[in-house]
Amino acid sequence: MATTGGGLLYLLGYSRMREDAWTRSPLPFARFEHEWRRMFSDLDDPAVLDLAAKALEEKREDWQDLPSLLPDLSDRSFKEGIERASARSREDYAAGRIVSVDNWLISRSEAELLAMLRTPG
Amino acid sequence: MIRDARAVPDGDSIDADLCIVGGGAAGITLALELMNADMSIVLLEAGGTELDPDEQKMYAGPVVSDVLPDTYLQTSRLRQFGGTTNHWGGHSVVINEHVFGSRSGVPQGDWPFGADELRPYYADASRILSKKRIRPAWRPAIEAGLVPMERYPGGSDEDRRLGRAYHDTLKRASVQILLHGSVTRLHLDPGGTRVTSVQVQTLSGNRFTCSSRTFVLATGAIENARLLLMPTPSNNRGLGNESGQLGRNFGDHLFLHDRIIETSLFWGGERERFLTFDPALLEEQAVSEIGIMRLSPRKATLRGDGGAVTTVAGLMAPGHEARGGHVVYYIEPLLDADNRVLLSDEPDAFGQPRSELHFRVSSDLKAHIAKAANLLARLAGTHGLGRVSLSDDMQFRYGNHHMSTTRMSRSPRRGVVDENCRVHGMENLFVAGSSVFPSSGCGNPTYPLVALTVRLARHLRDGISRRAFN
Ligand SMILES: Cc1cc2nc3c(=O)[nH]c(=O)nc-3n(C[C@H](O)[C@H](O)[C@H](O)COP(=O)(O)OP(=O)(O)OC[C@H]3O[C@@H](n4cnc5c(N)ncnc54)[C@H](O)[C@@H]3O)c2cc1C
Repeated sequence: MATTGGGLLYLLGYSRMREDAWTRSPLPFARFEHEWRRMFSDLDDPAVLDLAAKALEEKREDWQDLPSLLPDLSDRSFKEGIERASARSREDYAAGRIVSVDNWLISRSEAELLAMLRTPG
Repeated sequence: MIRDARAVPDGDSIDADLCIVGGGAAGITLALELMNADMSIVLLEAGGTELDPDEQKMYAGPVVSDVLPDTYLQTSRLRQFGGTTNHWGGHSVVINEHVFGSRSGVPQGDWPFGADELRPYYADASRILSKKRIRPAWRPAIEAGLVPMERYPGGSDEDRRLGRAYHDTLKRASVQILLHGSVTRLHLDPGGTRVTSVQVQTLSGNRFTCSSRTFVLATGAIENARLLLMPTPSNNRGLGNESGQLGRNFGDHLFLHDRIIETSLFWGGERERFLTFDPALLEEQAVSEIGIMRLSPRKATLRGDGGAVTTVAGLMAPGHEARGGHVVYYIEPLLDADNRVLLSDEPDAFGQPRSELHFRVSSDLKAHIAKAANLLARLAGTHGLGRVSLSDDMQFRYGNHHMSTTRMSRSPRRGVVDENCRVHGMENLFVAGSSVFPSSGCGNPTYPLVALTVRLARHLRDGISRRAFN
């Protein structure tokens, strides 16, 4: 459970901070939490939300260690949430709903996810 | 037999049934294929067995281009026995079937015959180039709808350098090879429809002629155009130039390197990674053929150079890792009449006009590339294989693949040579090499150009024995 939440946070944190900047200047926790909640609501999965909320609570103390936490992609709830987002993205690709973000040709739903991750909290 | 043209007495005249001008991939192929035929053959080669800087400088000329360097005419081809195979990478592909037909992406790019006409000659081309077929792999991508290119890498380095590989064979053969002899002019009969002889000059100062019943220009796509453009007393537009196409539509394959994020689905350790799109998709999008070469992905895991996008790509491939790598787009040139070889005002050491090259990347071509990258993004994204990028600022590299300056067409109003590579309006003058490609597809050209030259050799053998070109 903790691993799942940590994994999401890791991914989210990575998206925000990029590469090695991550370890040098971690985001303030409050901002992190805000974005994390938005990401979870985007995944639109109450089970994942619940799991992640608990995980976040557990991680409040030691979240500085997050870079060392890898997502446990075998966790079912996490996987289901991601799979739904992934399916939506694939539909976009198949329909040619592709946009260019930083010169990457990605699906519209991925672009929305990225924009959300990048919005200052 | 291999001789030095510098030792031929000034003012001499040599005679043969067939005169081949140029000893590169095409010229050597003709010599090998015809050396046992019942005919006398002379092969005139401007360079020697080693690279000579003074000979090489003869290739210099002005370049007007937004992508090619000023030195392109001198550095993208070699004036030496074996020609540019002394530098080439040795990788080549079969031209895909759809390239021969009419395509909305490359209007006027159709060939006068279909792929089946060239098929039988690839086996001989493989033998000449010491090539072995590589089985295409990168399976998930193929399942997603990309099409593998039929690819042939060269043998050893020595096998690839045709001048060295066949030096001894040709030395023992009855073909008379004259090194250091540059053809500078074609002499025509009074009617202007037959070449009677060619003028040969050497940097040592002697000049002589070679008369023959049949001539083949095999000097590469730039020099083939240059020699045909040289004015003669009866023709100052250039030979075979009724269409005005002579020297035009010069093409080279441009390469564009960009980034790719691949999910672990995409990896498989396969060596071969050269693919293109299904012809139906290319037709639907009206784009020229664009190949995709995946370079060995770096072990970049989630920290690939896609930054945040890498993360999202990783997220969207449940259970799989994503890592960064590079992809190279191989771009088929569009036919662009303004991309052309001209005669410059600058004379070379023989007092003849040098080649001048004009080559620009059109906005149409950039639009084709953007469509193809979108198509790749669509296929890779739909099948969860990865994500691709396309930089706004396209930084091109080029292949040194000179093509299409003497295009083939049944009609003299559309092309410079006919379906048998004979110059329109000329009875006994032929052209060998990728200058005759009406369009090229995205692949390296030497393998098909050698196959096409084997086909030409068969045509010449039959025609010369029947005295059909007299
Ligand atoms: C760096 C580099 C890498 C390449 N890599 C590849 C590759 O991986 N795959 C691929 O398919 N292709 C590759 N190519 C292209 C390949 O080398 C050519 O397609 C091929 O050599 C063309 O054969 P050709 O006989 O038409 O011309 P050339 O091989 O250029 O031969 C022309 C010959 O004509 C002679 N000549 C020229 N003018 C005269 C004259 N006036 N009189 C007498 N003789 C003359 C020249 O000295 C030369 O020997 C590469 C080229 C370069 C420069």
